[in-house]
Amino acid sequence: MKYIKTRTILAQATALSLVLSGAALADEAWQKAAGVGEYATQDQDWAAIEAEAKEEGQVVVYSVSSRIAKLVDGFKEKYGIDIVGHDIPSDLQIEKLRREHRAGIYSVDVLFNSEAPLLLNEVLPNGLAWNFVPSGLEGDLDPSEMKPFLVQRHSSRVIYYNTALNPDGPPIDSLWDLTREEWAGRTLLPSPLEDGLSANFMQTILHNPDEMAAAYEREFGEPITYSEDVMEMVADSADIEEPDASMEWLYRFMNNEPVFQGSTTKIFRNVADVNQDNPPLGITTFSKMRDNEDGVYAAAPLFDLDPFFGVSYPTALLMADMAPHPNAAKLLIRYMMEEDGFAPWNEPGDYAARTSLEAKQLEEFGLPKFGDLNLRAIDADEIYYTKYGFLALYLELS
Amino acid sequence: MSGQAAPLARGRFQVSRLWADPVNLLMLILLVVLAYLVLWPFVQLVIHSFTWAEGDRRVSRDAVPGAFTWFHWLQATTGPISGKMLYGPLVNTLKTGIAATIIALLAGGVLAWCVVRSDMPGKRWLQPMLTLPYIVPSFAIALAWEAVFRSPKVGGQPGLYESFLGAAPPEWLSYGTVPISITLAMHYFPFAYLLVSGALATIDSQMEEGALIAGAGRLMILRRITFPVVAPAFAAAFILTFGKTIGQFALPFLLGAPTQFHTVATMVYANLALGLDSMAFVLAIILIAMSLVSIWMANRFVGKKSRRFETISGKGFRNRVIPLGAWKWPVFAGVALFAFTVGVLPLILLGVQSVMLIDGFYGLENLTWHFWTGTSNPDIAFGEPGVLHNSLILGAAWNTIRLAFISAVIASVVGLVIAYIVVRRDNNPLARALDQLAFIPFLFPTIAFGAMYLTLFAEPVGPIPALYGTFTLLVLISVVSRLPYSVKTGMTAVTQIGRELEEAAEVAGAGWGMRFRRIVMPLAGPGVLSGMMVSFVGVMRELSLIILLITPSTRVLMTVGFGYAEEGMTQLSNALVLIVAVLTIIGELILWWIGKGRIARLREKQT
Repeated sequence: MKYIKTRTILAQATALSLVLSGAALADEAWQKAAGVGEYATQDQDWAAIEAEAKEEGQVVVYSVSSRIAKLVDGFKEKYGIDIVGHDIPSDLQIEKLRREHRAGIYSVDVLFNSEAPLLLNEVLPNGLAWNFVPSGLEGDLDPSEMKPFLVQRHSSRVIYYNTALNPDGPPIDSLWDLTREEWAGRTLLPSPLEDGLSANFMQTILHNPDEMAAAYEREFGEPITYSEDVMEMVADSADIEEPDASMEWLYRFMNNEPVFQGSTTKIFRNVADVNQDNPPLGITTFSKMRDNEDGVYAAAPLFDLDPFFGVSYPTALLMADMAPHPNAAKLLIRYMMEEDGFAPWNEPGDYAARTSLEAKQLEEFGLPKFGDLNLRAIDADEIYYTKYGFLALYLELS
Repeated sequence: MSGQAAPLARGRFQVSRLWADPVNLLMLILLVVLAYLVLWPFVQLVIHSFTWAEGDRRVSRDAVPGAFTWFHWLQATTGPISGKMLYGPLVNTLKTGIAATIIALLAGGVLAWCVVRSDMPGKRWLQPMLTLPYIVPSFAIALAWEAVFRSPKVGGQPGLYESFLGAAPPEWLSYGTVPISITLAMHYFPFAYLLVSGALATIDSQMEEGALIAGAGRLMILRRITFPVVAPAFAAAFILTFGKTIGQFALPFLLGAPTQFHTVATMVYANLALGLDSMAFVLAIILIAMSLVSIWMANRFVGKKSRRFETISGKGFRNRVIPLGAWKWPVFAGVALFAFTVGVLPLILLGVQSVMLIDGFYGLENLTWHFWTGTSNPDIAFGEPGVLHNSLILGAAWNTIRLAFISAVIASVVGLVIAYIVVRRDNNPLARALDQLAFIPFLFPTIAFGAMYLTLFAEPVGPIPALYGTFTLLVLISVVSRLPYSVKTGMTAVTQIGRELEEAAEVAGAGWGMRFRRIVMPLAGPGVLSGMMVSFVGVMRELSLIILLITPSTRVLMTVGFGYAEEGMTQLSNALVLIVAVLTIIGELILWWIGKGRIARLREKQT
C-alpha cells in the first residue's frame, strides 16, 4: 500500500517537473523569438518587426489608464493592428498576470503600469515581464528611465483645492494643515487599503520624517511633540525604535476623519464642483486638471505645499512574458513613446519622460519643468520592503 | 439446482444489478464531482491559509513561498493589526448582519401577515411588488441610498436629502452601520416575506376558531397557534438572510468604505487587492465559521421551541382572512407605501440619475440621453459611449444572459437528478451523503466561495485544466452555488410523483434514462421551471460570488456596473443596474410564460 502511494507521488512529481521544465523550455524559446532578456539585440530591424506585427494582427494591453482607448483608431490607421485595451489598476494587473501565468494562460502583450515597487521586486525578477527599449531613444531619456524598465511618463499624486470658492488662493500651505481641526472630515483620498498608489503616497511621507519635522516647526512654531498613542505604539512595536514626525502626521491625519473615495476622478470632481458651500481638499492625480470645466468644475493643485508638493511615480511600458503578439507589442511600445502615441497623456500634470516631448509640453501648458516641481519620487525598493510594516502602522494608528 | 446455490446466484445477480443500475452509477459520479467542487475547494482554502504565498515577501522577509506557516492566523488573531484586520470588521459584520436580519424578519413577517391573513385590498399587485427589491441588484439600493443621503463631507453635488431639506444628513445616516443594515434589510426582506407567507397560508382557520371557542384571547392564539406554525419559517428566513448579509460585499463596500467602515467581506476583497491572499483566506474561513454558527443556533432554536406541526389534514381546509375593519385602508396605504419605497422608488431614482448630464444637478437643462444612446464624446465621461453603443457593455450583457441561462438550466437539471436519487434511494447512505454535499455551498458566504474557486482552479491539476479567467469557471461556481436551492426544489417536485408511474414504465420495458426523460422531467417540470426562474434571477444579479473571478474577457453587467460606480461614473452605472433589473424581470416573465404554457398543455393532455 505504502509502496503504491510513494510510487504515485513520484509519478506525479515527475509529471509535474516535466510540465514545469516544458514550460521553462517554451519560455526560453519565446524569449529567443521575441528578442528580450538575454536575447535582446542592439539593432532592431523595425521593417521586419512591423511586417511580423501586421501578421499578428492585434496587441493586448493591460493599461493603468483608460485613455489607452484613444490610441485604438490612430494605431489601426497607421499599422492596421487592433489594440485590445483592458483598463486595470496597476496592482491588479500584476495579480492577474501572476495568476494567469500559474494557470498557463498567456493572453497579454504589453503592461502599462505605475506600480514600480512590484515591477522591480516581483515582476522583473520572476520573469513575468521584460524590459524592451525601442532603438533611437538614447539621449532623449535619462539612463534610469531605460533601465530596469522603460518609463513613458511621470505622474504625481498631489493635493487639490477648489479655486471657485477660494478666490483668495490656497486655503492651506502645509501638509500639517490637514491635521487641523478645521479640516476634520474634509480631506478626500483613495483608501491606502484598496489603492496601491495611495499607500505609496503615505509611505513616501513616512520615508521623509526629517522634512516633516521641519515643516511642523514652521507651521506651529515649536518642535514636534508626539501623541501618547504614537509613543505607545512605538513602545509596543518590535520593529520601530523611536517615533518620528511622519508617524505623528499619519496618526493625526488618520484621526482627523479623512474620507475615502474609490476613484481619483470622483475625488477631483467632488473637490472641484462649484455648486457647494464648503468644498473639501482632495489627494488625487496631478493630471486631473484637464477635467476643469467652466461653471462646473474649478480646482487647482497646491503647488507651494510645505514640505513638498506631492509624490511622483513613473509609469512603465513592459512586454509581458510569453506575449502572443511580441512584434505588435514592440510596435505599440515604440508608438506610445512617440508624439502621436503619447498624445492621450499629453495633459498638464503628466510629464513625458522624453526630454524633447517634455519641452513641447512646457511650452503648451505653461507649467514648471518636472525637475523644478517640489515633488518627492517614490523609492520603489523601500516601498516594497516596508509595505507590510506600513500596513501594520497604518492600521494601528488609524 | 441445489437449495444452496439459489441465494448465492441471487446475491451475485444483485451485485451486478447494483452496478448496472444507472442511478447508482450516476450517484457515484455525482458524489465524486461534488466532493471535488465543494469539499476540495474548502480544504484548499484551509491549506493556503497556512502557506506562504508569492506576494508574502512583502509581508515578511522570512517568507518562503509554498512553505507552512502560522503567520497569517497569528497576525489575524493576535497580531497588532488584528483589531483592524479582524475584530473590528467582525463586530461590524455582526452588527449589520444582525440588525439587517431583525429588520428584514420583522418587515417580512408583518407584510406576510397583512397579505395572507388579512382582508387588505390590492393584494394581487402588491405581492409581486414586494419581491421586487430582491430582483434588483443589491448595490442598486446602495447607489440609490447614496443619491439621497450623500454627505457633504465627500464634497461635490449635494444629495437629494440636502437639496430638499437644506441641511446635511447626519453622518450616521450617510455611511456605516445604519445605512448598511437598512439597505441590506431592504434587499433581503423578501426571503422572510415569502417563507412566512408560505407558512401562514397553511394555517387552517378552524384551528383559530377552535381556540376562540375554547376561550383563548387573540394574543393567546397568536402565541400558541400562529407563532409555533411560522417559527420554522422564521428560522429558515433567519439563516437565509443572515448567511446572505455577511457574505455581501458590494453594498457594505459602497456605503462603508468612505468612512473606513469595513466588514469581513470587504476586508477579504481589500486583502486580495493588496496581494495578501493568505490573509484573505483566513478571513474567508472565519466568515464560513460565522455562517455555520448561525445555522447551528437557528436549528437549536427551532428544535427546542417548536415541533413541526401537521397543519394540512385530510379534513376540509379553510383559510378565512381576518377582517381589518376600519384599519383596512390605512394598512393598505402603509403596505403600498412600503412596497413603493423599497421596490420602485430606488429604480426611479436611478433612472432619473442616468439621464442627468452632471450628476446631482437637478434641472431640466441638465437632462440628456447621452448615457443611453450617445456615441463617444471626449468631453463626457472620458469619451465612454452611452450604454447602447458601448461594445464593452453589450459584450457584458451577452455574457450575463449566457451565464444566467446556462447556469440556471444546468443547476436545475443536476438539482433534479440529485433530488431524484435522494428521494428514490432514501435508504442508501451514499444518497444521503449526496444530499448533504449538495447543501454545503449554502454554508459558504458568497465572497468566501469566490475566494475558494480562485485558489482551486489557479493551476492545472491532472486532467483538469486551469480555469482561471474562463467563462466555464463562472458557470461552474454559479451552478454549484445554486445547487442547494435547485435540489430542494427538485425534491419537492419528485416527492409528488408516485412511484407507481415509473414502476409501470419499467414493467413496460423503459430504461432509466427513458423514464427520467419521459416521466420524471415532464411531471417535475413546472416545479423545476420555477426553480430555474429563481436561479436565473439569482445568477443574473450576483456580484459578490464572482467579483474575484472576473477578468476583462468574462465581464458581466454587474461587474462593469460596479466598476463604473467605483469610478464615479454614476449615470453609466445606474443605467447598467436598470438594464440588469429589466433583463431579470423579462427573464422572469419568459420563464413564467413557458411554465404556464407547459402546465396548460399538461392539463389539456389530462382532459
